[in-house]
This record gives sequence, C-alpha cells and structure tokens, in this order.
Amino acid sequence: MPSPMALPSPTRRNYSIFKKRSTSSLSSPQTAASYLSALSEADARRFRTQQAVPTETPAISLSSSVTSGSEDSVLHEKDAWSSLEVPLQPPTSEQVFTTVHSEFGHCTNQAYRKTSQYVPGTALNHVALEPSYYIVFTTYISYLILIVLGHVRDFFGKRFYPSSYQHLMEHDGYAPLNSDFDSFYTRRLKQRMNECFGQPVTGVAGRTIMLLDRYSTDYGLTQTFTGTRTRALNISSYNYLGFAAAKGGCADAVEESITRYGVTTGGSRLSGGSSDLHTQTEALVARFLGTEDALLSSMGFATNSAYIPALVGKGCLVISDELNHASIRFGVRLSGANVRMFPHNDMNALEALLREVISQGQPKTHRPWKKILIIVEGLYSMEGTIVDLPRLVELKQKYKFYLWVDEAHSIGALGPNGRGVVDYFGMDPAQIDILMGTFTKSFGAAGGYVAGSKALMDRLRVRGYLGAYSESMSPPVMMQIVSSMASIMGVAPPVLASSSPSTADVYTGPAPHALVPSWLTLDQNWVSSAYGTPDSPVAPLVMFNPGKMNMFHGLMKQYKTPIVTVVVAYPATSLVTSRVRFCVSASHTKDDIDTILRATDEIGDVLDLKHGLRKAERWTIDEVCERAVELVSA
Amino acid sequence: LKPRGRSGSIVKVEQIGDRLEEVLDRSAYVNINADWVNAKGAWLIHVVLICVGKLIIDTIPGMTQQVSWTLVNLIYLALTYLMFHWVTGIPFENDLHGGAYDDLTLWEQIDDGAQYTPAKKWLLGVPIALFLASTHYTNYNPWLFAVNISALVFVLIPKLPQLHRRRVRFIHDYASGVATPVTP
Repeated sequence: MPSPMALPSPTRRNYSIFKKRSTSSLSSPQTAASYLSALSEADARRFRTQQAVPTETPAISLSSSVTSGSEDSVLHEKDAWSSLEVPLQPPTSEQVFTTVHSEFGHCTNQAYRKTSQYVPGTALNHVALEPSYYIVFTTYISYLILIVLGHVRDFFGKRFYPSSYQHLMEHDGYAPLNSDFDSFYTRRLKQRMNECFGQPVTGVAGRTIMLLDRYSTDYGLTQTFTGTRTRALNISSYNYLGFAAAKGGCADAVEESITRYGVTTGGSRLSGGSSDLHTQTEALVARFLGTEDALLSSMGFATNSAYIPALVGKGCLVISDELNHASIRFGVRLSGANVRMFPHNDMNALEALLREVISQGQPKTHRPWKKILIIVEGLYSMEGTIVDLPRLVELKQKYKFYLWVDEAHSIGALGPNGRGVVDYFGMDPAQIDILMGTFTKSFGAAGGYVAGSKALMDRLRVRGYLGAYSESMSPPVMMQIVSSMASIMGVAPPVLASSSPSTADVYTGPAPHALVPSWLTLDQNWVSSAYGTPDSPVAPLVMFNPGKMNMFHGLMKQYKTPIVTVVVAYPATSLVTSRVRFCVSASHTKDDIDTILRATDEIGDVLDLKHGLRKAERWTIDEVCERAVELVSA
Repeated sequence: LKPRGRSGSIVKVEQIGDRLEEVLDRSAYVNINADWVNAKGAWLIHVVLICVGKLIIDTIPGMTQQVSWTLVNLIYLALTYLMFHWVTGIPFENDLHGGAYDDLTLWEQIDDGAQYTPAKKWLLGVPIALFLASTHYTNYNPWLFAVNISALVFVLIPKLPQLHRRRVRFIHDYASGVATPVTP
C-alpha cells in the first residue's frame, strides 16, 4: 500500500521537487514548502503513533535478489561467488532486496533489531577492566626496545648512510627539511606498521570493500601493488546506517540533482553561492533535529574549527572533555579562549571544575568569564562511550553555561528515531544551545552542520568565516543528505522512472533507525577488553601491545573471509591502550558479525588478547553466536 | 613579550615556556607523551628494569657486587636523566600542539607542570632508594660513595620545583635577546 506521503507516481515527470531554475521562482518554493510540510506531517504522525517496530522491508512477490550490479563486478570476473557477494541464506521467493549484497547485506530477520534507547537506571558506560601487570610491563618494554632501536638506527644511519637521511640533516648550508626529533615516531614506529595504514581501496565502502593488495620490501617505507584485488568484509568504515551504497534511491536522486543543479553553485555562501537547495537542506536538518534553524558547512572538520571561534574568544572559557576530537581543539586554539579539560565523561569532576572556574574567574585578574562554553561529543569514536547528557543538562541549569554537543558519530546512529544522542536520552533539543554534527558518518554524504536557535544561526551565518571564505556545499552532496535524511524520517525518496516499476513502497535498503546494529553483542562475556557502551555502534577492542596491532591487522586480512580493520596505536591513543576499532554498520548481517567474532576469537587465541574474565566465566564463541539475541536484550 | 636577556653573563637562570599562546596550546591537549607516568605499571617498571639491568650487569665476568651496584646506579641515573631532563619536546603530532612543548623536558610536562604530585614523588624516590642500596652494597667505600652521591645530587637538582621551567645557561649569547630554537 503506497504511503500517503509518497509523491505521485513517476510517470508524470513534470511534477517533481527538482524544478529547473528556468521556471518561475514562485512555484518552486511552493513545491519545496509543500514537500517540507508533508514531511513534517509524516514526522509528527510517526512521533504520535510511535510504534515499537517501525516499518520493515516489505515482502513483495518478486523472486529476485540483486546480488551484483555495482561496477566492481565488471572489474573482476570470477566463476565462483564468494560469501561476501552472495548471502549465506538464499532469499525466499517473497523477499526482494533493492540493494547489492556486497554493499548492504540482505537480512530480514526481525529478531535482530533493537531499539537504540537509553533505559534510565542502567549504567551508561562500562568501566573497562584493568589489564594485568605482565601485559603492561611487556608493553612498556616493547616501546622501550622500539625507541632505543630507533635512536640507534638514526645515530648510525646518519653516519653510514647519509644519503637516505638527507632530509633530516643539515647539508650545504641548508637547514634540515624535517626535524628528525619531531618525526621520530612516524619514522621509527608508525613506519613499521605501515601496511595497516593508508590502504588503497576502490569501489563502494559499504558492507564489503575492495582492497588493492600491496606489499613492502623495505620495511614499510614504500609499498608495491601486486596487481590483485581482494574483496574484504568492511568493519572499518563509518557507515552506521549503510547509506554508502552506489545503488538505490539516494544514488538515483543524486544523479538527478547533478542534472538539475550541476556539481557546484560556484561561490561561497555569502557571495552568490547559496541556492534554494541550501535553504531546503538547512530547513530539513533543523526539522530532523528538532531545532529552529541549521547551518551547513562543506567540511566536517571545518565546522568545528570555524564556528567555535565565532562564538568564543579572548576572555571566554571553554571546558572540553579530555578525549575531544582534534577539530574541536583546533577551533578552541584558534579562538584564543582559555581552555580547561575535565576527565572523560566524569560529571562529578566537571562539577568540581565548574565551581573552581566560576569562583576564580579569569586568570590573574579574577574577573568573571565572558562566557563559559562546555564542548562534549555525543559518541566518542575512540572509546565507544556516550556522553552523560541528562546529568550535563542538570548541571547546565544549575551553573548556567552554554553547551555544544558534537554529534559527529551519534547523529543518525543513536536514538529510536535516529535523531542522535538527544533522542537516545529522550530529551528536548531546545535544552542544548548548539547541536553540531557531520553528514559523513551516518548519511553517506560529506560536510557538517550546526543547529540551534534561529537568532544564533543567523548570527553565525555572518560571523563564521566559512560563509565568506569557504566554498558552499555542492548540490549532489546536499541531495544525498536530503534523500538519506528523508528516508530516515520515513519518507521514501521520489522513485524516478529509471528504477523498478513498483511504486514508492520499495524502500531503499535501510529501513529506518531501529536497525541500529543489534548484533553488537557486548563482548563482556567473552573478551572483556572492549570499551564503551552496548548501545554504541563503535566497539574498540584494546590490545595494549604495539606489536599485536600489525599482526592482528594482517591476520584478519588473511582470514578465510578477509576482514579489514582499523588499528589505532600510540600516539593517537594513550601509551598502553592501543586498540582495534570495529565500526558496525546497518549493512552488516548477523552472519557477518558472527564471522568477525569468530575471526577475532581465533586470532585472539593466537595473539593472547583475551584478558579480564577468567576462563570459567567466559562463553565460547558458539554460545555467543547462538545466544546473541539474548545477550543484546539483557 | 620575552624580556631581553642580559648578554655577556657567565651564568644565567632563564625562565622558559610561559608565553600566552604556548600556555593556551598546552591546556588544549592531554599530553600523552607525559601521561603514561600515572598509568598502571609505570612505577613498577622502574623496579623491573633495575632488576633486569642488575642481572645483566652481573653476568659480565669479573664483576664484583660493589662495582655492579655502582654501575646500576650510574646507568639508571644517566638514562633517566637523559629521558626526563635532557630531551625536550614531543616526538609526534606537531600540528596538534604547535610546538608548545618544544622547550619543556618530560619532567616539566608531567601532570601539566604541577608540583609535588605522586608521580614526581616516586620518580624522586627511586634514585634515592637506589643510592641507598648502592652505598650499602659498596660497604661505604669512600671513593664509590663520592661517585654515587655526586651523581645523585646532579640528578636531583633538576627535579626540584624551584627549577621548574628554568634553565641555567653558561656563557650563552643570544642575538639581541631573541632565542633561536635549540631543539634540532
């Protein structure tokens, strides 16, 4: 049954929200406004009815299951399909999937869904168990050996092989090009692990990804392509809702928008580069989040580094969490405001700090601060922890500071309606002064936004220097944002004539938000060096020793189903807690997660990664796979 | 504004690293180069490494207990001096902190420059304990005692809070009072 929200059937191509610019400008806003009002009606209806299980991928009697169709299949012809391209369970004759299995997995088991919502009274973030002493000692000794070896190699290398160290030494009266001290870690530690970093890939970074194989003969300095490609299970991309797909309603809409709007609007927002699509997208983002207005920017990092200086300056105080992202710190440094940090997610320490800074005032003069801005993230991707927002807003009402929440990872991925961390806790978005986020992670687009009250956004439009100096967001990217956001909000994107003949109830693969990965069984029962909260789509697994990073990555790639993972070592994390980070996506099926867990189990036995729980308390991997649903709902 | 140093002095004590931009840059980041001293096992690793070092030195043929303990003491002091009080700066991620730590040794970076913290107390106590052990095992031989105690005093001086971010310079001239960066 076609949704009442669906736009008229695509046979009448004249009626579309993507009106050409040459037509009169009066009709276009009306169409856009009516589209937006219909959208808000559907949204309100959804909030009112608030079904426990939102609409699922419908069963239509077509016996096809699209398993190929992306351009990758042209690049490599194979006789046998690997398990990554074909689902393990063949589809029934009543299921139709409009996605490619290698981009977005085919799975319709409703038992594997879980609503992402905070249950009051439960512990928000798990406290990680401490590693045992022998692990810590071996880690320190590993780093000591690496550092000593590095210095020895530098010392002798500069004397015996000066040609390879030319960029680090003075010669001919020229200063060294690079400081050898500053680049010590990059040259002596990171270079040893270089096969883990900078992996060239091609194709869609969806459920699977195509790696270009390479090897190194000079210990990581250079890499050579072997010429082959490997399709690997992708647990490393930020693809929380699975919108990274080349086939589907969003991709079609994007292609259409290129035809209608071109690839650029040719200018910065304040000097001629602003189009009606910008206004519509901002209005849609504001509607999605529940704020009055929103402001787009074309680059996620730049959103933080440009709009924080527009809000705070000298004489203001910024209190930021210890583990905030580099873009936030960059913006704060750029602004010239004073900074204090509080221990990660520790609201009691934050309260103590607030009492100290408010009572002491500015340093040396002790005058009151012009404003105090607290910057936190919704979901911390390195830890997998979620900010304690209810307590933070309580503190806000008590101490009257301004609050900036950076929802780069949590928007779309948390909350029963996908509206981010505010939705996850069931709070009112008006309680937070600025909601910032990016479109890179859950929407498959690029760029960022800032959202808040209309007066604030109007002022930031002018005061933030992105408006004057940065390029405006390009139309196809905005179209991807609009179509992905609209499909999360429950409106099917307008299905254009090129797609299948069935009408608008053929949804693109990701049915909305409750498909936040329920298969993220919390590893506490099995391998307990996992950090974070069970509701987070990011699960870091701590490995402590630097040598295990390389081995883990390599062994995962050589597993019978190749799996590509992200390893993060010092100095991106603290010294002893090097980790591997699993970013689970809605495009993964339970079989994929089982594969990953089995691989981690096998490799964990080889590399001695299982610590914390005694052997007797642990579950076996088969138990974990079978009792997954029970684990998640517990 | 850095005050112009007096030129031509033989000995000069100079305060470094208190420009406003540097202070702001330092407060924006958790200094993971210096953070590990408070992590689990960072204190006991000293004991472990001293024991391992002693075992290795004892394997050298013709080694007596006296010389062995003196050597352990001296090598430990030399290596910790090199690590905590000689090398300045952070060897990675320069675009994040913009060189705000380039003049600070690891000792000065620990705990963001706070004094009398537990980590600093431990790092002060280990050389002293090692010195006491070495004097005991050298049977208070005056020559070895003199060597050990002068090494200890030499290492303890930069750990004093009075010398925090202060450098003693001998006949060091700067061109018109502006320091050129000394880190390579």
